[in-house]
Amino acid sequence: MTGTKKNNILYKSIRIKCREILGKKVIFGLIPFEKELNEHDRYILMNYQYIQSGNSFSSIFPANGLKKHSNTSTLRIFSIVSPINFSIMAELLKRMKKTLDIFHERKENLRFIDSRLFYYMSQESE
Amino acid sequence: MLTAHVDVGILTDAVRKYLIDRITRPREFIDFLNKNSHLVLYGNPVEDDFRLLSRLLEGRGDSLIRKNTETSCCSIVPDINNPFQLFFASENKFSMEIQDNYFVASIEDYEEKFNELSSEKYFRIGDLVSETKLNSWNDLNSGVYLSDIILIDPFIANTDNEETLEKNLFEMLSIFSSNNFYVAY
Repeated sequence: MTGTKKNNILYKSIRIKCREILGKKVIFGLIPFEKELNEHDRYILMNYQYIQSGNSFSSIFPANGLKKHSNTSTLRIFSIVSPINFSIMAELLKRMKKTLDIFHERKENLRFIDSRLFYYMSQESE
Repeated sequence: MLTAHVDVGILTDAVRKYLIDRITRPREFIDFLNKNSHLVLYGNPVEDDFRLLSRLLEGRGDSLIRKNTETSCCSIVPDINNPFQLFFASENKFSMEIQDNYFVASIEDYEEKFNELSSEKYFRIGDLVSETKLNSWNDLNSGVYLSDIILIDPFIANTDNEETLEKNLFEMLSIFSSNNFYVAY
């Protein structure tokens, strides 16, 4: 099985499980990318806060028998009540949107699901 | 910047409390409304309050201030495309459309809820010190209303170990979804 084929099966099963957790009425999208974002840190962006992690979120709680993190790895929650934090998150969203637009142009992405978090950009361009 | 829909009653309450007790009452909420948000004000202040608020709301820098003709923000029709909105109303009588999709607070709980909203946390993964140790994904659940989420992590699905996915991605989604996601009908 090629890597891509294996990944597609994996993404499909993850997508199904995520939909199960979130329920049918929640809009959900999973976008496979590896190099395009060129981002070291990992983020969870939300409408009032964002979380930054130095490590992949998939390895915060390792499975039994797998290597644990050293305590140098950190995870922070920032509030976007602070305009500085808001602008950091806006910059991340801008970069992400640019990457998604490249996917779109290449017609590579299976299915793009828009997010309301990109809203501020439409306001900016007005 | 976030957009704050605020009833005049909340703003005058915050200013009055601050003027009575400047030491124990932090100014963050007033500063947020005054300088760090796009403020939409609802209701008409009485004359004394009007003078107080006029002075307070001078010199806002880049932030906008708008006066809405409605007497309270609790039943306006919100711009549903904008997830960056907060609602502070004198009475806790929010419409379902606002309550189900945004951060809301009333005169009874706005101070406490704003503190939750503006608080920041720090964890060291694998730390043995209990104060900064991340015990579970639930530690990241601050209780702040959540409607939209984007997770950026090129390696989140870079495993076919089911237990890793269960303990991380799936558990995280379960925790966050308990805060109510925006539901598109």
